[in-house]
Amino acid sequence: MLADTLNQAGHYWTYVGVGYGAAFVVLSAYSVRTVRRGRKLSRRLPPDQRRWM
Amino acid sequence: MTSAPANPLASGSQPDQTDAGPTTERRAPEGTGSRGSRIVGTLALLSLAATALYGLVLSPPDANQGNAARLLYIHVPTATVAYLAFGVTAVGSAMYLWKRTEFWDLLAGASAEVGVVFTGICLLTGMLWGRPIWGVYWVWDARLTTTLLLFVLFLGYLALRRVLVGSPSRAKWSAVAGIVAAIDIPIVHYSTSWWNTLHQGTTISPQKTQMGGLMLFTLGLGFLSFLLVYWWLMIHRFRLQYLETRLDEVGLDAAIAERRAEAGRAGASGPTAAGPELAEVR
Amino acid sequence: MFRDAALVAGKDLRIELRSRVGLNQVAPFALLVLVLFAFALDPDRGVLRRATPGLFWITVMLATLLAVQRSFAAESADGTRDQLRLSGLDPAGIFLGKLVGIATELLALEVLLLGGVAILYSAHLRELQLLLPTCIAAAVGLGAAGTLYGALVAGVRGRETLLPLLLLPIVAPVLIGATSAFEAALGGADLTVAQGWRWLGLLIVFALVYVGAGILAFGSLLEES
Repeated sequence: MLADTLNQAGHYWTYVGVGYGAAFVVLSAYSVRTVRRGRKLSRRLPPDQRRWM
Repeated sequence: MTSAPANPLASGSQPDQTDAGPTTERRAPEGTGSRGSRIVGTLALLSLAATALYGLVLSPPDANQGNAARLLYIHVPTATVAYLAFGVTAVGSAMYLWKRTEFWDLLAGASAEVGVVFTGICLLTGMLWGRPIWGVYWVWDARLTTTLLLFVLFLGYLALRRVLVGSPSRAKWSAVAGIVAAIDIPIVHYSTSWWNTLHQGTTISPQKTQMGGLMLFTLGLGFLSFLLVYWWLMIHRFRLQYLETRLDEVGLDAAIAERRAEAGRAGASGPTAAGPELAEVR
Repeated sequence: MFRDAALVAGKDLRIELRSRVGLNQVAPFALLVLVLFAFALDPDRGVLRRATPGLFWITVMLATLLAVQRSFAAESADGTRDQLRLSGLDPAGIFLGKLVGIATELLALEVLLLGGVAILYSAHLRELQLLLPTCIAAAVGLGAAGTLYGALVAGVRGRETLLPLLLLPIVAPVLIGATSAFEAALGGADLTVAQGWRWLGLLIVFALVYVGAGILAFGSLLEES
């Protein structure tokens, strides 16, 4: 019902909210995961082999 | 050793107090963060915040589309970044086949994974935009269809890389797959737009959204933000790819050493077929 | 290059003639798919007839997966792949040879399926001068992309599920193009025959692009890392 009110012609805030929310969540989750993997893996290697440059 | 990061996006674990001087610290970092990445990350975060502010609050709702147009501030930039990421993968693949240096393979692989994330977000926001505008979650217009196919192509490429982990030819074969997929995209785009003009039916073709002043500015902010995010993610993902490759090598070396040890033991008891095989391995 | 291609093609076709897998397994599978579509869609022939081009080409694509798997399975057995590489044959020639083998099988299958839809879906086969080149161009395009990806995943564990994921998105334009050309030829959709010829053009472009890509890339695929 709330969704209907919000979605009345022109409002559509549910869609916008879900969209922005999902984008934020996905990007954050992926970022966290990538950084964590990076830390985990770099711990397993000797210091001189950790970076490309 | 690492304090909990204030937020995940500006992280990087660089304690300033290490026993050796700054040079050792820069060459022996833990994790994939660095001063550079933190700068880019902070900029990205600020920019994203600004985009959200303008996108959700400060910019006006569209005359025709209402608030649904706000989704475009995410949908359009992520689409651009998705294709950019794919382009990077394609170029990386081609350059790898030419130069055979590891850098290009790392670039290609990293960009594919980051790209798939952006493509997913693009498709999702596209669907959420389409529902209020067209009444349906999906239409088979050329752009959306090509982007969907891009998504699937990315997934296939990543699946191939995953299956080939540990194989010494992985970079080469992924590169071929990357290029083959890249030459397909223009053909797919061309054929789907043709196909689309023939099967219009009653679907409303996505109208060119008119964007004036403030909306255009917000869209520009969106482009800036997502490009910065892509850049930040690529820094980390590239370094992660490097780490993974190093670890694969370690695994490979260990396996070879084991084989040699085996052959050594077997050789003591008589000639075996392990000898000529080993010569082929390296 | 062409001599090597003829050698490899001849080998593959001879293997096929002797084992008759194409005849005994792939062809019945394709006909079965046609039948299954009839079960899945309303047997009311209106739906089937309208959908005939699409169903035809989806069936061909599924059969392509089998044909490609088969073509490269023959290589992995008995270490033929290593022998091929060491034999000194031109890799581009090997590519073309395998391509010819697969494309020929697909073409034969397509002809068979034309008969199948004529009978099962009561399709009226008109404009054969458009239908047949479409079949050829599509077979070559599918064969080229299939050979490329088949070589890529050959010898990889789990290739049976990986090949469809890799190959099918790539050949989506073939599906679109061939289906549209068939729609133009068979009539019933709002496509003029003239437009059908344009789609044939697309199929030819696709085939050329992928044959070219295969010739260029096959060398690096086959060489030892």
